Amino acid sequence: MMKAELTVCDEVVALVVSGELDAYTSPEVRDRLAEALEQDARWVLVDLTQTEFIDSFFLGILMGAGKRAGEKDGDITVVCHRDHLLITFHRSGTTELLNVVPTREQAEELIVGWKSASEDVGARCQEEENS
Amino acid sequence: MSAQGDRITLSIPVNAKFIAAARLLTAGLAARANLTVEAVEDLKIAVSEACTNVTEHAFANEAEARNKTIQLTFHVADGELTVEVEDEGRGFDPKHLPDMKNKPLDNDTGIGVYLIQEMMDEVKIESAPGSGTKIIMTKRCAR
Repeated sequence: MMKAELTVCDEVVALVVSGELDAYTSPEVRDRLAEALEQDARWVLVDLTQTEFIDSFFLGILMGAGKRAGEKDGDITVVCHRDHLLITFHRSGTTELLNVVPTREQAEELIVGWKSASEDVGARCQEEENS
Repeated sequence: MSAQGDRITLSIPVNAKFIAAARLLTAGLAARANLTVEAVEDLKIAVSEACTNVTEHAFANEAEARNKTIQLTFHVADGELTVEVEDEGRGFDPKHLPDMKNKPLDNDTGIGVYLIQEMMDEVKIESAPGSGTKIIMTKRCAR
C-alpha cells in the first residue's frame, strides 16, 4: 500500500510518501509531480521518511522530476534515512544527483539556499539588463 | 504457489500489481534461509527489479502480455536463497545490456539488471530474442 501527500507552496512541491514505491504504485506519484512541475513549482522535496521500499522504477521518476525541475532552473532533494533505501540510491549512483539528505530540516535548508542563490542571480541579471 | 522439498514456485500475472506479492514471498523465504536483514532487503529489490523488467520490457504491449505469467522458483538452503525469475516474453541478447558501471542513472535503461548484479552474489541471465528470459540469482549471507 502506498500513500502520497503533495503540497505546493511558493514554487516548492513537497511530497511525503509512505508505503512501497514500485512499478505499480509509482505512476501516481509521477503524475502528481509532473502536474505540479507543469504549473508553478520548480523546487522538489520528496520525503521518504515513512517509505518502506523503493526500486529503480521510482528512482527513474525522481530523476525525471529532477530533470524537469532543472529545466525551470530548479532542483530536487530527497529526505531518506533508512539504510536499505539509501543502498539503492548509492548503488544506482543517484545519491548526489538527487541531493539525498537524512532529515526534512536539511532538505528545507537546501531549498532555502537554492532559492536565495536563484534570487541573487535573478537580481544580477535584472541589474545588467537595466545598466 | 507450490512447494517440493526446499523448492517453492510462484506464478504471477504479467502485471505490476502483483510484484508486491513476489517481494512478500521473497522476504519470508529469505528469513527462512537465515539470511541477514540486509540480505533480505537486497533480495526484495532484486526480485522486484527482475519482475519489473518483465512487466515493462518483455512484451510489446498489454495485449501480448495478457494471460502470460512470471514464474518464480525459489531454492531455499541454510544461509542461501536462489531465485529464478522466468518469462515467456520477447527475450534479448544479454550481450546487448548497457554497461552501467561508472555511469550514473540518467534513464532507466539497464538499471534494473545493474542493481540485481550489484545486490546479488551470483547472477546468470539466460535469454535470446524470441525465447523469453530467465534470471537466476543467488544471495548468501547467513545470520
